[in-house]
Amino acid sequence: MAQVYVRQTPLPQQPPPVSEQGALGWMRENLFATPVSSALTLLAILLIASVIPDLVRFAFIDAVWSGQDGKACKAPEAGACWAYVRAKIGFFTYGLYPEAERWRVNLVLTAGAVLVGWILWPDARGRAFGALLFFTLYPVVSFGLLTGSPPFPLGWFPGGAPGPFAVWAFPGLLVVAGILGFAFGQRGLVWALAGILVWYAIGLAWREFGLVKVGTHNWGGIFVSLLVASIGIVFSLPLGVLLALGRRSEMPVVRFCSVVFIEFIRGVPLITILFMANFMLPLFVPQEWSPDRLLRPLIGVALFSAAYMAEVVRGGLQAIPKGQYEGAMAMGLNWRQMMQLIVLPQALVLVIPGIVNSFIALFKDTTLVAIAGVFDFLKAIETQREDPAWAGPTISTTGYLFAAVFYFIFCFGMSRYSMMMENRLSSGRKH
Amino acid sequence: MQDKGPGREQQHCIMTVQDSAELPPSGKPFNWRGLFWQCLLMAAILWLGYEAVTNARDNMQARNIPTDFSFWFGTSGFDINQTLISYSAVSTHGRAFLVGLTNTLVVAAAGVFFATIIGFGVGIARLSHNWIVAKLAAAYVELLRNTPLLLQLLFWYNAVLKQLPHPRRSLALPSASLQMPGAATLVAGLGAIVAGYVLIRFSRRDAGGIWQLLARTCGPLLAGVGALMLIFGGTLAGFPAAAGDAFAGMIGFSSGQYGFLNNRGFYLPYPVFAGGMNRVWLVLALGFAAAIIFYLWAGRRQLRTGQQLPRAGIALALTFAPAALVFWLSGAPVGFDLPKPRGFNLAGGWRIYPEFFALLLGLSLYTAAFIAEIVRAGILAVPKGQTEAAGALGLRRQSILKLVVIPQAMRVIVPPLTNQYLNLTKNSSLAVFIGYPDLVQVFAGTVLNQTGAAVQVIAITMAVYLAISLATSVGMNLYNRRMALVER
Repeated sequence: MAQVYVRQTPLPQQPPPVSEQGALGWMRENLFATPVSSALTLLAILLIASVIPDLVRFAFIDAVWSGQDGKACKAPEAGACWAYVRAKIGFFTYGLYPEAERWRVNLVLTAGAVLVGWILWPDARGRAFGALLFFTLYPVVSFGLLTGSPPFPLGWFPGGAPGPFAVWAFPGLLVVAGILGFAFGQRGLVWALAGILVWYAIGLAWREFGLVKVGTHNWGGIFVSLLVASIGIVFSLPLGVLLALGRRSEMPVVRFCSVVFIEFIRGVPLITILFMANFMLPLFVPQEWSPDRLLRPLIGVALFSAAYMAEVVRGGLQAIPKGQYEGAMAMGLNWRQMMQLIVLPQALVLVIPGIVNSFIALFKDTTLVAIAGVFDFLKAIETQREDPAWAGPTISTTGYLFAAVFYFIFCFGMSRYSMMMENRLSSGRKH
Repeated sequence: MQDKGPGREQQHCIMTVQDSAELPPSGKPFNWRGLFWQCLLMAAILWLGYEAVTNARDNMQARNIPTDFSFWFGTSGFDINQTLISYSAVSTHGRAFLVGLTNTLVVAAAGVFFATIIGFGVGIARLSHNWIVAKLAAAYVELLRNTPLLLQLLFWYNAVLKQLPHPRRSLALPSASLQMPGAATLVAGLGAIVAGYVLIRFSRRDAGGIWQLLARTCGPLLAGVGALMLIFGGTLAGFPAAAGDAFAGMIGFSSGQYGFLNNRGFYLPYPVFAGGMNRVWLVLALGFAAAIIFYLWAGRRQLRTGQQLPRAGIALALTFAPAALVFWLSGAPVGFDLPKPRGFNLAGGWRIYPEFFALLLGLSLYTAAFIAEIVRAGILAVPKGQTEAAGALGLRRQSILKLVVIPQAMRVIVPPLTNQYLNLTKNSSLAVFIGYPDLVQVFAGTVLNQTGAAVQVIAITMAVYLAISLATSVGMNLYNRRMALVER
């Protein structure tokens, strides 16, 4: 019998080579793998070492944190003048909005933040309801709060300003309620009556506790930047959905008009659209209808972002499998039902990352409304730069640094959110 | 038609109208409802158009605004500081339009050039195996992409370029005195490289433990340091600048101050060509033609015989070497108009205005961040199996990139890249905020304010941008079609 030598126990495991493990191994692998890589590492370290300490010194160590005017900031070795930002933060946030009325802005911004958080929070309950509030009730209430004028002419309310509406509104609304009740049964009647009651309650409350009117020429700062961006999104999303549907429509005239609108807007810079809104829009309407100074760029921004939004939504519509369309048609749904119940709910969820991305672009683009004379955040910083009480060598850089941090936090946060949603969506669709 | 696969469909193309709405099966009864809605839409648009036109006519007549294009031939009466074509205050508004258009095109072309270089560099750096380089590139992209372009423009213009010293205290460029690396640095650098390579070689043997670690880490490190010492030897930018200095001496520069940087701009030497230069240009053109012929021939030869030549190197040499020789032989027929301090300002030379510089800087750096992401996505879109297969064939990393990865990545990169070029061109209209006389600033700004012809001016401005966009998208569709043919 031949003898066979077979090892019964495995050899003890060897530790990995020193050069492949631990911090040193990592460094060898990722920083000094080749001569070129080593040289690049050294150059990068040199670059960082020459930039970061200066930046830290400017922004923190040598920075002037408090002071009543720009005296301390004019010292030759002084860094960032945060005292200036502290002194101007009210202006940067609200513009010339009267100090006593700023709670209204805060209320609108907080409500908006809560609503947006609700809509964007993954798996939150009732997101659709939140979206409904954000796109319908919220703009109306915000308009009332910010301008201080009621959402409808006061003449529409009992005891409001006298006018033809005061006489006809009440019986007219009752008739409307009756028709709704007739059309939709008892529930319609109840809803219509409740609506009328709420309407009148708002009117009465307004008459009693009416707000001071604040003209749009007093609006400014971060608040206007956020406002322009939100209005852009509130109006561009529905408009974009319509345009996307129109672009995929079977009706040649509708399709042609949508394509022309979308490609025209996407082919020209936003600035020219703002110029158009500012100079041409007042010419296109009768003189007594000439739109408000703030409204003009808002219209421009809304149309501009609608075209981009339409392309995002179209991507979502195209990503819905054909079987969904066919299934809906096989169920006997008509076009509106198919879109509303089957296609759009899926398509819109699918393009949430795209919507957020175009919102980031929109938010950055709001800085351009300054060309139309709107006092957005950047414009506020730009004008305060030359305030003689503060003007100094570091004021410009301080202001821009502050603005950069603000925009960066917003845009970076949103882009991270969109990436997270993308991952969730793609993992949900993987098999 | 073959199945295109999902990757092709997701490609983001500009304005390719591919709205193949899923049509229901034919044989449907005629859609009267569709006809009704379309008629309604037509009627609404016609009515809106009619209202707009009549209102605009009434409003413009009421405000004495011209309703025709006669302003085009009217005298402009304003000056523009940066012009490529001859222009003065007695020129027409039409001439001003041309000045604005050329300025827009110049800054857009320069921006596209620099943004492409920076963007490809940063995009490739983000995929680097070197951790710190990849992180730096990522930081660049996130920082630039997440702040508004306008903020960046204002920063470059107001916080950087306008804060430079006055002309009398201009920064002279290059600031470091020029010198070759000293003998000691030279020896040390070369020594470090040699030592590094010895260590790398040594580590290939089965040395164990700490020795191996030392050898494998310190080898590349030493060689890298050596290379840096050679390149940046004596002073910052010493070595390449030294070569430049020798050249400068040849064409008659004396001092080391070629350029100045101050709050009125960037002053560079302006080349003045003597008559002998014509010969050089001719030889350069001939060399270029020869290089192209050689390049094509070498490609054919490789296909036939499988033998490779260093095509790019030889083509470059063919282009420039004869021209350089003729340049040398005809006694360097080029002089330089150097900027010189005069009074409170600088005179002569070639002045790059801070407005242009800031716009170029802002546009290129901002767009480069987006291009970097496109490049990264394009390279990542090439399946890893391609790289591995190329490696298995024995190609080096360089060749894998050049021959396998980049050609496939380009197909994914080019459509969104064109989109970015268009964005850059459209974004150049932000020039109006820092006063660079581009199309919008000159025409939609000054001319509009002077003539009041808002409708005409804005329509013309928009038409120009629209024409650029449409021309690009037509070109893009052609490119896509060509690429699709190559696809198997």
